[in-house]
Amino acid sequence: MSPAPRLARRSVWAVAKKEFMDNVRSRWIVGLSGLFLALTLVVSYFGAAQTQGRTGFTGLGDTVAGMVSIAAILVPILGLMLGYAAIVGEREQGSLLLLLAMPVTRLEVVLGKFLGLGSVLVVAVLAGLGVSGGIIAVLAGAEGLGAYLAFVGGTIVFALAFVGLALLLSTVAKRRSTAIGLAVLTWFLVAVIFDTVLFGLFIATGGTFDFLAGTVDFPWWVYAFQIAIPPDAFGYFALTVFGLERTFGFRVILPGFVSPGITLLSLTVWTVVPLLAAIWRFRRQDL
Amino acid sequence: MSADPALSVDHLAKTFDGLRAVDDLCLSVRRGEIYGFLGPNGAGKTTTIKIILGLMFQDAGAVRIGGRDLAKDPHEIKRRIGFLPEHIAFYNNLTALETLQFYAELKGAVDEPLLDHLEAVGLRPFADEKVGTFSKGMVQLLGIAQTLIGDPELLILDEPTTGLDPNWARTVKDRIQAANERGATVFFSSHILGQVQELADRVGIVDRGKLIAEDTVENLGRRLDLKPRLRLTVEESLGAATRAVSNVEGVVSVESSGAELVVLCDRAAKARVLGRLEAMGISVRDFRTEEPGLEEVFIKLTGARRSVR
Repeated sequence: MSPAPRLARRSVWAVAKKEFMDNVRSRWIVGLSGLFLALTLVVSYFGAAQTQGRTGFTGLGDTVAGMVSIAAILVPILGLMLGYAAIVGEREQGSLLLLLAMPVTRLEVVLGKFLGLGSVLVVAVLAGLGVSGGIIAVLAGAEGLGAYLAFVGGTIVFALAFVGLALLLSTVAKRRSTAIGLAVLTWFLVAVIFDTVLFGLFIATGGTFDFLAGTVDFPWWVYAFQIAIPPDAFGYFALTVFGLERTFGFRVILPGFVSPGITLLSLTVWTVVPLLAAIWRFRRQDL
Repeated sequence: MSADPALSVDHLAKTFDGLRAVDDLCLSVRRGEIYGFLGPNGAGKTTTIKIILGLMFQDAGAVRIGGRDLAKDPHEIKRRIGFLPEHIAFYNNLTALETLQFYAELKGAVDEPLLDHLEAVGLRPFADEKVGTFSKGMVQLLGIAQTLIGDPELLILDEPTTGLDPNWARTVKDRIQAANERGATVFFSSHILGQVQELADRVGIVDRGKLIAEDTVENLGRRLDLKPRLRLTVEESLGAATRAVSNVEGVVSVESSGAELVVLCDRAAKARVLGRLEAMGISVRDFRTEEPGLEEVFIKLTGARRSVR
């Protein structure tokens, strides 16, 4: 095994730029980002109904619960759609051979794609949350602005986790169609099935949930599992950053270990580990 | 440094699914020459090229480019290589010029007059059109244009003229020769003997992953003594015609194939064959010459008839 060659920033940058330009023009991505913006605008108008019992642009903190529920669904879809074909698509099409014969290493290609696709998501998140946040700040005052900025940052980390995951799928799959299947499966597991199974376990282990009481009080292990999965970690990050105790009308009693720090750590691990796994997978692959 | 060959492959081996795609293959390409890597489809040419460029990883053996190991300094070594893959593809959303700009950026050659490279292959008028709208031939020409970026010392071309119409194939051959005249070493693969004879200085013949011959085109031609085939359609019975030409000097064999007479003979004997038929009062309705193909090469080299595509 020869020593690893140095990392050429110029090559990473060239790949990132091409990837950004190629995808920022994609109709799918523009459409989904537009939908994200439209939905955040809607919830920032009606969102306060959940916390304050009235409509209108009331404040940044009031809107967050609604924005979280939209972002938790849409951001993973955006990230997975952007990244699932990044490697396997070029491989199937044939452009990957020429790319890798250029003065660029496989590590630089994966990093460049991660940065380029990540930048597209950053633009989408900033557009979606920035516009709504700006309107609220102007109409209802900038109270909670610091927390809102932290929330935007957390959303970006949450988004990057799915780019990393998508890149991993893209190096594991031998065909584009397999990668699509894996992406759909990943989304279902992470965004739908995991919470359902966890709630089932909670009930099966003798837990009870009283909708009428209006209080959510899960045992600690339910929160521990939720923190370990990106959409829930993201949701709790937003709640704790704003210090909210109510979401969708329920009073949430969080255990002490659920903090912005630990949820952000979980999201960061979900970004870095799949990315490293993708690099490791791709490094010695025969093309 | 300059004493090292431009490219050397030593005892290379690669097996997939129990099949030996490359089997103890050795070859050496000298600086400044055009080397034709000849073999039928499935002989291991593309696999060898992929290993040379680090796109695949060998089970055994070594590759050196200008005496150096690609894995040690991939940026510097690949910057000096122009590569044309067998099935080339680009990014459909980028224009021809944007495509070249992307590769130029990777090669650190952003100041290069990229439009000149498009001009060289006749794609200058399509510079601002998206590659997604290009025909297969235009994509192949863009592939050639892309190999010119950074004035590479070594061109590695996998089946550069396959599937191109004669005009475009001519353009490609001209670009290869022009690059070679500027000092580039060229290593190209082909499954067509005629292409290799036309372009290459030296040729390596590969079969089932092994190099079975390596020599100059001239020496190989002399050694193999390849003869053209004359195919004749005659008015009279094939039997009479066969008897008439079989003892002409320089004729190796005469066979009938359907309604045609197939004569294997020296190049110089072609006129004598036609002359004899005329003298015997046998009128020739049609005739054509078939240049020797890879099949004959294999028969000569291995003594066995083997079908090659």
